[in-house]
Amino acid sequence: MEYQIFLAGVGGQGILSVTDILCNSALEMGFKIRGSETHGMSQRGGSVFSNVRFGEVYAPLIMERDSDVLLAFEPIEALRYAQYVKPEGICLVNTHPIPSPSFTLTKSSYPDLESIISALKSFCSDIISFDATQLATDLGMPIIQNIIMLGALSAIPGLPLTVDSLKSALKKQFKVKHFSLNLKAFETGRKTYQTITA
Amino acid sequence: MARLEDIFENVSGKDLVLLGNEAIARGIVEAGVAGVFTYPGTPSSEIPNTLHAAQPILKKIGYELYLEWSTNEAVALEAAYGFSLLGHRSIFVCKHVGLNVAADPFMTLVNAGVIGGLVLIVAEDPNMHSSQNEQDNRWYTKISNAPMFEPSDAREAKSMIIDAFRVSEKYQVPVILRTLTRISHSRVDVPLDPIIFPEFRQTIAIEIDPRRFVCVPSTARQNKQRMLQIVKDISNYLAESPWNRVEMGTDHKFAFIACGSAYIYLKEVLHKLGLNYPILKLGVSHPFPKKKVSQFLKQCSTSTIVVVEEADDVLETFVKKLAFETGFQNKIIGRREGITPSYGELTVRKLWNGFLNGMEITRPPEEATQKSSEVELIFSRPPVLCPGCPHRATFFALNKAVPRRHRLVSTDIGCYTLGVAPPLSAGHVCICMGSSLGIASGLTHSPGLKDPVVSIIGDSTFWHTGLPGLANAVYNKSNLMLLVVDNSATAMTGFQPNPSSFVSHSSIQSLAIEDAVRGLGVEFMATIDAYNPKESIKIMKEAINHEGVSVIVSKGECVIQYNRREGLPKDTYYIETDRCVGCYACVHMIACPAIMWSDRITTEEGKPVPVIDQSLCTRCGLCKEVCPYNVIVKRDAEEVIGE
Repeated sequence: MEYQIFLAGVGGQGILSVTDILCNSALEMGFKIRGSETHGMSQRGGSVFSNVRFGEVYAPLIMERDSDVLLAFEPIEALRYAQYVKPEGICLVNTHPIPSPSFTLTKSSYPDLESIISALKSFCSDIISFDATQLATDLGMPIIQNIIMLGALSAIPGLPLTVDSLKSALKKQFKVKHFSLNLKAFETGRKTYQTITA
Repeated sequence: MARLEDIFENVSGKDLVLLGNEAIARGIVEAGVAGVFTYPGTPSSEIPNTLHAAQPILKKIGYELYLEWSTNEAVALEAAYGFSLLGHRSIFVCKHVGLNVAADPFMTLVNAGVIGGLVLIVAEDPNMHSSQNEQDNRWYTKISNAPMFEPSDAREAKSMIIDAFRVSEKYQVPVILRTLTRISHSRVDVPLDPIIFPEFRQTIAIEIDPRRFVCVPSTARQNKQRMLQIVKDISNYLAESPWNRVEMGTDHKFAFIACGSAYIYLKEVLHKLGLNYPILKLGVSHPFPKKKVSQFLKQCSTSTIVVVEEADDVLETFVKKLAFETGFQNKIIGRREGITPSYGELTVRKLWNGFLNGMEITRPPEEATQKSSEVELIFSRPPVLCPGCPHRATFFALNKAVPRRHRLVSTDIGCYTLGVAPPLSAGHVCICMGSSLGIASGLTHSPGLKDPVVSIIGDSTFWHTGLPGLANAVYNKSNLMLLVVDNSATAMTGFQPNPSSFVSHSSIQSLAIEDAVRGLGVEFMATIDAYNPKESIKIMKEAINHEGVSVIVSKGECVIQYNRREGLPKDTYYIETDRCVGCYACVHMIACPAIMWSDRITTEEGKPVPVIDQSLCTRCGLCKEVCPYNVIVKRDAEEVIGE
């Protein structure tokens, strides 16, 4: 067995925290774990990715068209890394756009969401998209959009990580006082996925 | 990243998922290392960062670790050597180009040898994710004779450290451990081994024998011979090393020789293809394991030998040399046949595609006809100066004081290198740490140059290799303006302290850049507040007209470091959009990531209006200084966000 999750987003979106949680959940379940991630220069504001692989795996990087899931925290970043997801895989997208100064300078507007989703479809047909940042803002903390996305991931059929092991890794990840809010975000994401796919 | 309490827990047997560099940091305390000497550089930085942060935890369990943020790699290696001479296990950590800086002491101290174990952890960066070049440091072993351990992943990197010390101490030579981005920045499940506490034996200075350690020619000749003998001895010892092992295969058409990181890509491809060939896996690549390789060639005399390695074709060169010497008759394929790429990172797909050049195998799944990263909708998202970065304010002032079209700017390595992007455009050239001053100096002496020359250097780089360049410029009467962009942090690599950075613990002496500049006899020196561009512009204009070397120290603490400690300021900045005329000075002059186009509001003429994203703004106020119509105002943050 091998299972692979490709995480993509913008520096500062909490991608590495979600990576931690996925890895610790996989460890609790007894899997061999390999992964790789961006550090250093693109830390802030740059495009960032992280790969999590578990099961019978050796290399730290996911091969193109081989990832079971693309977990994208930003729509353009979803498209940038879409070539890594299997055509029959699943693409989870937070639709909340984050522009970049490079295009503010050239004065173009952010590409429209429908075109992004339709471009994504040529790489992977199963696309689940929603505004996780809005949901997180409704919970009172926009930055926990990453945990909402994690919750949505937890609802994917066939994910070898159990909800219990994900929750227990989530509990260990942040300060105790933030756990109830994180758990709420996790459940919100999970429910959102279930509602969309119902 | 794992919790420090977990990484350094005094237990063994437990499994953790660690970042490669965290695993290496754990390996360092599992080897009983007493001293760590480093200058930060990606992808090595998290090794000392993790140990630095863990010092209180280590102290609690009785582990005394001396950790030094040296001012550059040459002094770091020299200091590590000094530590080793009194019998202590010491570690030197740097990125690949750091070994170039340390190459001078390195090349000679290898011959003189060590007393306490000395291991150099050197992290390469294939594909140059955060580097100015791609450099295979295995060549250093060939010119220095220092042994090298080449882990294939972070688990091995951790376990190899203690063995590297054993070799270092048994043969009294420094040993290199080669890591790279995809090991240092990988995640792996790692079993913890016991922590070994360093022993501080009582030593006396007299044990350091000048007939060996004072490298005058007569000593150096002896040391060279000593080294050649040691290479022979180590070769024999390592012939039996468990790190160099053969994995038997069931099929024999091909046989693989792989070293370092390439081994895991090989395993993955063979696994995906369901193939089973013999593999000679080399974990200690220098001294070249002749015996082991020739045995393997003999065993596989009917197979085609495939050499798999990342970066240059170092292993292949030596395998082919040995095959020639031993009369091996079959084919050996590798780089020339396109098995592995000659630049960039090795990946599963690249290796799989490479195998198509010599093996009849199933093709990898087709790549998409168009790369998703090349879809037209995509805009680039390069790393940029953060919102509120003091460098942005300094470069804005520079652009006002010394027009972009009439200047040459020699910049240096740090966050401020990102200032070369438009609209700040602060840099024409940048080669390596500290190069800004030497290059600027050379530019000024070129006959016929009319434009002024500006050199830019950060605080940490100033102490690293800026000082010799400044001394040279003053001594040779170069006519340049040096801008020291002092953000009081080594920010790009993760906020390591440097001699003039914000010091929170009193045990370290804080040095002043201004004192060093004055001491070097610079006649024009001024200190400016980065966030006061009006004043900065005035002083920069004076400085650029000064004949000779002028130095401006632009002070503004890294906004991330400042806000982590002090929190966000109470007042924020706000664009009164109804008064905005759409001149776009704020967008075109400073390109702050927190300023973006409103998706709702336009000017009366229907032009788009910029707004400040309060979730990104760090409240530095530079945009207020830039706006010629005063429509950017300071207001209570709670009110603004409430709206």
